[in-house]
Amino acid sequence: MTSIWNIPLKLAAVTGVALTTALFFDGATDVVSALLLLLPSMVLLIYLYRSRRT
Amino acid sequence: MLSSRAIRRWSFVHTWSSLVCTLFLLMLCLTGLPLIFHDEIDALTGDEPVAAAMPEGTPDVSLDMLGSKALALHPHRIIRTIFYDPDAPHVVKVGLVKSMNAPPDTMHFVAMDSRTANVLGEDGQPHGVMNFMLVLHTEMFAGLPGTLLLGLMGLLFVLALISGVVLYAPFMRRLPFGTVRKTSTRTRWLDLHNLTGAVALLWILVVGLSGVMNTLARPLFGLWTMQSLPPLLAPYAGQPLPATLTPVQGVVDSVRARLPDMEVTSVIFPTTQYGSPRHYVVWTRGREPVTSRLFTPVLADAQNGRLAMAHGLPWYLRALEVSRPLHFGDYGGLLFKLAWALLDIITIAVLWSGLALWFKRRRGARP
Repeated sequence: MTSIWNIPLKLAAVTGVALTTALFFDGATDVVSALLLLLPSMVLLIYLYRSRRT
Repeated sequence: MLSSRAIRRWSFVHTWSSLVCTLFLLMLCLTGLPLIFHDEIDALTGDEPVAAAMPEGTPDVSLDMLGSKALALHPHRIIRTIFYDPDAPHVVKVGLVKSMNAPPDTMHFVAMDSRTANVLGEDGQPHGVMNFMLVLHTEMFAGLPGTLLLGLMGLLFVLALISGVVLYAPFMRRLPFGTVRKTSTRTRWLDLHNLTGAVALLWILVVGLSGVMNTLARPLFGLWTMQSLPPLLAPYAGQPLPATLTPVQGVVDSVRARLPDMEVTSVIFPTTQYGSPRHYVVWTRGREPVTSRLFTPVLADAQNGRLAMAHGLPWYLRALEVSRPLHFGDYGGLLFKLAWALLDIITIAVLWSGLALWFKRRRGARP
């Protein structure tokens, strides 16, 4: 697997897990919300990290 | 590895499939943002009727009594539907129309307390800012053609996403993920476009595809009606329509006895619009998180109350039902909706940066 896909694939996996888990389990919504909120936060962190280096 | 010719082709597909649908998608994302919070906004504006607090276990009055009371208020109308408000406990709404074949958008609603039959409010067709947003979002005030056009735009958007992913790999091969180069304004926009697009890709795909599914709702339900009704109506060929209807409460009680694990959500009275002229259609749904998304219609003879059909919907309507919550993001709490809103804003950023890139390239190409 090319390294460029590592992070996007992990993000896609998090999104996929989050979306489907909440659909099947009512009690999981807090966890799922946290996972979905994690995505934009990760982007911001990655962006800040890369901007510092380039 | 893509050849330079293949890259050019994919780039052409990505540019034009995006450009055609971008303005529509921007409109959908902007109108979708407040719609995510429609429950909270409706509660704030006080548009929804609320039933008074009563002791736990207070029984409901019969649906026939609710229907009679609504008809007494509007004697020149007939009942088209009675439904339990999914967002307000103990609130039942009776939808009245002027004739059996009146279109649904002429329906007048009377909201009542299911335990006392007290009238909680009356309303014609929905109105206000949120309804404006909803109609713009779902059909652009153009009815079914508007809905289908939005579905087509959704398909183009999916094509833009797929072509974007194909182009993403060769362009990002030499750059670590998340790099935003500051060599030029265009490069910076391109990197931001790729970054936000890759991050929200799966969510955008899921919401986009489920949106396309939703645009097909009316034709798909029409197809199901065309397939299911003729065999049920065949024995009545040539007979006049029933002059009196059997009490609706008895029908609902029979349905509850037949499907004890299901919850009755609404009853459609005999109609030539989206139903049968000889049957009540009682809509039921499961009580578990997933089954609550899956509806089962039960058809009952309107003259004698005999149940004529009670089985699940075909696969294409099941797929539609499951796709709905994935599009609306309404199956979690407020935090979940906030996440939905944030991803919606990221999608707006992807669309906007794509548009900016195209303008910058166009300006750069000019002599």
